[in-house]
Amino acid sequence: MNKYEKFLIKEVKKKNTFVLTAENLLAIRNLGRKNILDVGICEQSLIGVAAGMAKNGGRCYVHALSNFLICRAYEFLKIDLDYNNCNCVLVGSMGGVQSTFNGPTHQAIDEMSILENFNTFDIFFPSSIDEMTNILSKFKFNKTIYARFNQKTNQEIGIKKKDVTNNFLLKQGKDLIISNGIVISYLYKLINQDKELKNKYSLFNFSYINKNNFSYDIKKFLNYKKILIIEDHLENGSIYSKLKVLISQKKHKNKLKAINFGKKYFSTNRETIDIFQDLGITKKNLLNFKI
Amino acid sequence: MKTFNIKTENNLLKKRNSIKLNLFEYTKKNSSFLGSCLSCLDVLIYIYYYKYDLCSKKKFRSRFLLSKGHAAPTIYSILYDKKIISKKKFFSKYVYWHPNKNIRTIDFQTGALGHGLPVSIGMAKFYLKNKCNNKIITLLGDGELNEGSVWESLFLAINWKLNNLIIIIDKNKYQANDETDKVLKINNLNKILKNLGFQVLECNGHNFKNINDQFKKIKNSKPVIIVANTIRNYGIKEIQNKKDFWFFDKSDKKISLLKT
Repeated sequence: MNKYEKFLIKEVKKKNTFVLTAENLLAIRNLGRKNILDVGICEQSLIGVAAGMAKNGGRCYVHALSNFLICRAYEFLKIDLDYNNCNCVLVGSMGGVQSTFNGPTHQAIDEMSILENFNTFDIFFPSSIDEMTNILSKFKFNKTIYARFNQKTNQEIGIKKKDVTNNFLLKQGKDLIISNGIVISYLYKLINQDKELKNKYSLFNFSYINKNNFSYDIKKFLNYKKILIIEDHLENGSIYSKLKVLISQKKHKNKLKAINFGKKYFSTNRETIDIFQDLGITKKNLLNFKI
Repeated sequence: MKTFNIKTENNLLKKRNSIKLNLFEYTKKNSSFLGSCLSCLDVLIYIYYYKYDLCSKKKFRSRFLLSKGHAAPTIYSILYDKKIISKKKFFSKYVYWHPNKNIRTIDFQTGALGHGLPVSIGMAKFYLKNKCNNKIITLLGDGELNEGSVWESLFLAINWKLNNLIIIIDKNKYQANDETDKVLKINNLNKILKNLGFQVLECNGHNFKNINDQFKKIKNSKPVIIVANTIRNYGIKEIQNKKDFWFFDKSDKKISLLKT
């Protein structure tokens, strides 16, 4: 049982807290019957049900595969949660590159561009299950949060809590890489294990995205002239697309470069590491990267 | 236990007249989906004025969700009569063609079809978990049964044994500007619903006594669906039960039919 599942077991013991699921992660279905509600694959009703519970003060953790949670149930998110101001935690699994072998029908690489339309939503692409559990344990259900589930642990990645300052995982390099989610775990290992890369790049984990922290976080980036933003997301709605606008508005001369999926689904039937390498996230490329 | 007698029926009939006048005034000012508003008027009068206390300020009260949101002017007319909406608001843009969640007792903003039932399922489940005896009532249009989310939710209601859920289907046999059976016919609806596991009751949706007789049969052992046979634009002979006049435009010449 992973850390998040342990967290859920504790949560559902609380009054009026429910776990709703429309996914096939067996672990969630096996958490026990108490307050675990299985809706099969009824993703639209999943959101409506969560809204009905939230309206009465229920605290719902709502699970489905990211693509079906966000895209199939879009109108339900918009009306039942956002417009009616019903708050819950949405947990999407297999978001980004984590859906590698499923092909384009299951790829969720557009959550930020979709969810940024909603006023009451925050978006969270945690770098690890530890970060996810940590943030959710403090969540007050005063808005809706969408978390792209990532089961990597800090231990697997090699991140030690004491080494993290203000979301900077690495601070030695003069250029900055901004990333989040599962990409961070790959980047952290790649950079941390290589002296040259470590001297070249600092690494910022931009995992929590809402309207307020964008303008706050950008101040931290302005000291870096060269910034590379790496995301397993379409360019539309990406952190890169927003930073580009903000930096130009502030008339700073930071040089930005992006690695993301542009406008396309990613090539399938590959291991995650192959997808990263296809994108150009290799030691050689990062060292020679000209911004 | 409340008794339903001739006096009750007469009171509800009186209410029908006054609420209908409110609805006509609303339509003259704002237009409305009058056909749909009038088909469910009597059922709503029954549940608002006789069967349930839907306007209480208690946190846990019986709740009503109008899933076919375009009949909202009927709710507004009732809430105006109950003085929950002021005269000024009733004739303002505050009350549009779909339910406005900012009005007390309107628990959820519906309008887009297929949303009310899933939300009701969530509320009903929450009430059951909290051992609350009140009911969650939702009213759907027969055309709304086209929506996939309705069928998803029906499966959930049965699987979760939501015996505090009452689904009313306003079967006026029309959807938008055509007959429901011509658009997308559902053969043997009652049989399908029974086979899913619901208690299915059927009533004349314009006869208060008959509505009450069916509500009395609710068993409380499983979720119930009441199919209310109704008539579009009920009570206005010239336009009732016709495919036109789903929407009644305030500039239409026939607006004079809405006599006050």
